[in-house]
Amino acid sequence: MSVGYRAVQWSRPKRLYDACAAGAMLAYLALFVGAGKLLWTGQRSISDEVLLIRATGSGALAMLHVLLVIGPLARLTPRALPLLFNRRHLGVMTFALAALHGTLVVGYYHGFGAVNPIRSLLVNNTRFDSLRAFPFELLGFAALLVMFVMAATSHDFWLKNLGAAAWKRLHMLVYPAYALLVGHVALGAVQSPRAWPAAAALAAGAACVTGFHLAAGWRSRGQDRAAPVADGWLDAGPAAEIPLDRARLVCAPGGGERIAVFRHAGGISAVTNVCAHQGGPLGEGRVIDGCITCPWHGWQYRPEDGCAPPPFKEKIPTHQVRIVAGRVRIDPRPLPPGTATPPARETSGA
Amino acid sequence: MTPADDGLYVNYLPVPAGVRRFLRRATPSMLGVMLLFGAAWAFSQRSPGEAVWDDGKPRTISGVLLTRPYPVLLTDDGVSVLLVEVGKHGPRDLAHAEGRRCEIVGWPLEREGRTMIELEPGADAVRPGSAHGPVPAARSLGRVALRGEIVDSKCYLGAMKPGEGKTHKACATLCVRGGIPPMLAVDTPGGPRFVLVADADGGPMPAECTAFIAEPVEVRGELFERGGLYTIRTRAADMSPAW
Ligand code: HEM
Ligand code: FES
Repeated sequence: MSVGYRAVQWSRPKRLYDACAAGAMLAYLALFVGAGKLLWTGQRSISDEVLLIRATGSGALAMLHVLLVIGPLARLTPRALPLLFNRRHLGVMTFALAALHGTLVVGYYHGFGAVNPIRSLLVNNTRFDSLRAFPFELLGFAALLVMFVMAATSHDFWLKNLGAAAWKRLHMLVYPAYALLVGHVALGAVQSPRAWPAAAALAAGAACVTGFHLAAGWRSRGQDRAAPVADGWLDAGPAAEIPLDRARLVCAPGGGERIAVFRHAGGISAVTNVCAHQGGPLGEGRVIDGCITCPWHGWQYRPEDGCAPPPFKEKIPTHQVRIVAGRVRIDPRPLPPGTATPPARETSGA
Repeated sequence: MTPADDGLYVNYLPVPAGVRRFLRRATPSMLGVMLLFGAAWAFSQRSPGEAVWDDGKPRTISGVLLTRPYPVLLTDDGVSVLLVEVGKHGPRDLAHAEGRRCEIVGWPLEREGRTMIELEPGADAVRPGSAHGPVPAARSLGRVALRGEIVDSKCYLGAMKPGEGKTHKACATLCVRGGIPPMLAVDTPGGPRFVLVADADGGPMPAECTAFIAEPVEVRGELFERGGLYTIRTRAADMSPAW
C-alpha cells in the first residue's frame, strides 16, 4: 500500500528474495561458463564470448520459465505466494540478463565489421520465407523489446497511470514474448549440431509452462460456483459454508469480474475479486485485523466499504449482499469503488 | 485465528510455518532444476574444432604476394598464407605489390594445416620489395561438385569458435561482405579440405552467392590449385542447398 510513490519499497523479505534470485542467476552463469571451459580445452576451446552469449541467453530463458510458472503455482497452492509478491524484481533481472545476451551478440557477431552492428542485425538476413535460413536473431530482438516495455513499466507509477486493467493487459505480453523466444531458439540453436538436446530442453520447458497453466486453470474453474440468477441477483450458496475470514468466488453471468464473498466477524460482504494494486485475486486472500488482505502484496480493504484503512486511499468496488433463507444473494452490478454497503447478517434475512 | 496459524502469507507479517516449510523445499528444487538444465545445456555444446589464433607477439614472414582471387603470401617454403585485416575486413588494396617479394607483419591463425595472417594495422605491415618472385601457374583440376559449408575463412581458422553453422551465419555474412575470403569447408571425403570460392573469372565471389553462406551447400565449378591452395571458380547458379 502506498501513499505516494517511492522509488522501490525495500523490505527484508524483498531483499532476501532479490538476494536469492541474483545468487541463482550468478550460480547459473558460473556453472555454464565453467562447464563449457572444462569440456573443451586447448585448441578446441570455445570462445569466451560465445560461452557468455550462450550462458546469458539460456539463463534468461530459464528465469523466464520460473517467472511463468510462479503464477499458476501460487494458484495451485497459496503457500507459493511468497514467490509471487516480488516477481517484478525477478522480471527486471531476467530482462537485464537477456539485454546482456543481446548486447553481446550485437557486439560480437555483428560488430567489428564494415556495417553498423544494429543495421547488420536488422537487415543482414531477410530470408523470412525459409525456416532453415530464418533470421532467428530478429525473434530474440522482438522479444527483448517486449521485455523492455514490461520492465520499464513494472513500477507502481505505471500501474497507477495506465490503470490496473491496461497494465495487466500490457504485462500479458509475456506470453507472446515467450512464444517469440521459443521460435528464437527453435530456429537458432536447435538448428545447430546440438539439435536434439536443445530441442528436448525447449520442449520440456514449454510442457512445464503449459502444464502448470492448465492445472491452475482447471483448479480455478472448479472454484467458480455457478451462480444461478434469482430476480437479477446471484445465488452464492449457503452462508454457513463460507469459512470465517475467507471468501467464496462467484462468477457474474455474461462475464465481468469475479466477485469475492467474504464471511467475517461483521457478517457477509462482497467485493470485486480484483485488487486495486496489481489485480491480485482478493478472494484467495483472508480477513486480517478486520480487513480483506490481498494474497499478492498484502494491500488491505475494509469489507463494509471497500476502502483501504487510513492513511491509504485505495478503493475497490463493492456489491450489495442479502441473506435469504440462509443463502447468500449478491447484486452482480458493482457499486462505485469505496461505496459503503451494510454486511448481511445471517439472522437478518431468514 | 492468528495470522501465523492459518497459512496465508502476507509479506509484512511473520511467515507461517507451513509456508516456510514449502519455501525451504520449493526454492532449492527450483534452483536445482535450473542448474541441472544449465549443466545439460552446457554439456550439449560440441567441439568447435582445433584452431588457434595466436594474438601474442606479431610475426614477420616473407614471400611472394598474389592478389587473385584473394591476397595470399606464397612463402619461401611453398606455403600459401591468406591475408586479412583486424576485425571483419579483408586486406587493404595490395594491387601495387602483386607478384613482388614482400615482408608482412601480423598474427597467425591456423586450422588443420591452413594458415592465415591478420595484418598489423598501419602501412608498415606490408613491405613490398622491388624484386618480383617466381609465380607458379594455377593448375586446373577439372570440373567438380563439392559439398560443404561456405564459411568466412577468418572466423573458421580460429578467430571465433565455433565459426560455422546457423548461429554464426550473420557474422560470417558480415565478414564476407567486409572482404574476408569465403571458403568452402568441404565434407566430401578424398579431396581438398578447404577451397576458396571465386567467380567464374577467378575474381572474388559474386555477391549473389552470399545467400549460401553458413548453410549446407553443393558448389559446382572448376577447381584450381596453386601453392597448395585450392580455389573453385563458380557462380550462384552453380550452387544449390544440400540440406
Ligand atoms: C537483440 C536480441 C537478441 C539477439 C540478437 C539474439 C541472438 C542470438 C544468437 C546469435 C544466438 C546464437 C548464439 C550461439 O550459439 O552462438 C542466440 C542464442 C540464444 N538466445 Fe538469443 N538473442 C536475442 C535475445 C534473446 C532473448 C531476449 C532471449 C531469452 C530471454 C534469448 C535466448 C537465447 C537462447 C536460450 C539461446 C540459445 C543459447 C545457445 O546457443 O546455447 N535471446 N541468440
Ligand atoms: S495485487 Fe498487489 S496487493 Fe493486491
